[in-house]
Amino acid sequence: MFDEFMRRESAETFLILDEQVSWDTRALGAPELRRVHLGHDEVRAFWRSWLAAWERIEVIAGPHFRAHGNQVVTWWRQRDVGKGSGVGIEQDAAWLWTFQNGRVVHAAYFPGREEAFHAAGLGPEG
Amino acid sequence: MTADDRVAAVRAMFDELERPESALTFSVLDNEVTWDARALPTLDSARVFHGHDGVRSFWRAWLEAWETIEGFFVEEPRYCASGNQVVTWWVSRLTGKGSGVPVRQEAASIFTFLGDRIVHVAIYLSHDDAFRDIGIEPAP
Repeated sequence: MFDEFMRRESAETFLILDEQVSWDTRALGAPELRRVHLGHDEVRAFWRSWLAAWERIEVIAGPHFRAHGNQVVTWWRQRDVGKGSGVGIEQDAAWLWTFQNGRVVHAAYFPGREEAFHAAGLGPEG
Repeated sequence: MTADDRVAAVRAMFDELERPESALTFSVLDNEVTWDARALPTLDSARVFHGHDGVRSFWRAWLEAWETIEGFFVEEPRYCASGNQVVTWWVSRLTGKGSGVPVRQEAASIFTFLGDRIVHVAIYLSHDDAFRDIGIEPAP
């Protein structure tokens, strides 16, 4: 999914995401995107809104992956350049992916690895 | 919240199972909880429900499917924590509406927490399926 995202493709991603996936971005900075998105259409709408804000997104460290049971934590650092403003910001990002029957049924965004590990009930070292 | 706290929260909810408007239950379930009952054989409740109202709809639909519930738990629920999740498993005895056929129903659930609230619930009709999904060895 990560590799596909970097190519701005999504066919494989939507095979992996359950049709009824809960996509929880309540921890995002942008208030208008801070909610739980349900199902493929809402996930697509989320990405359209989020990507529309940025001229360029570049991963500058990672991604890293840590599996635990039916969950995977991913984290990385990215540099985003705002559309229009041209202002660049660097930020950490992490997601906690929960699988059921081989597909992702819940995905939650966190502003960093530590928060995602804590949410997953993993220690600081994972 | 520790793994023990999560088990205690799920156990407390199960203790409240026969109270449909349990304040305790709804304080543990996130407002945006996803309640995945697609594995159930009961037509009206075999889908994904969202939020507190969705959970209420699930229970109404599920209870409607049975003539009698001889025992929610003919085998008491057991609990096992793994990271931010708790798997529970039990056996119920129910009689189907219309058919009058008594059913011994094995069931299990995986509760996924974010912080101190449950954000995802998945229901299974087999203990083994739940353990396989959560990725840990089945408890004896």
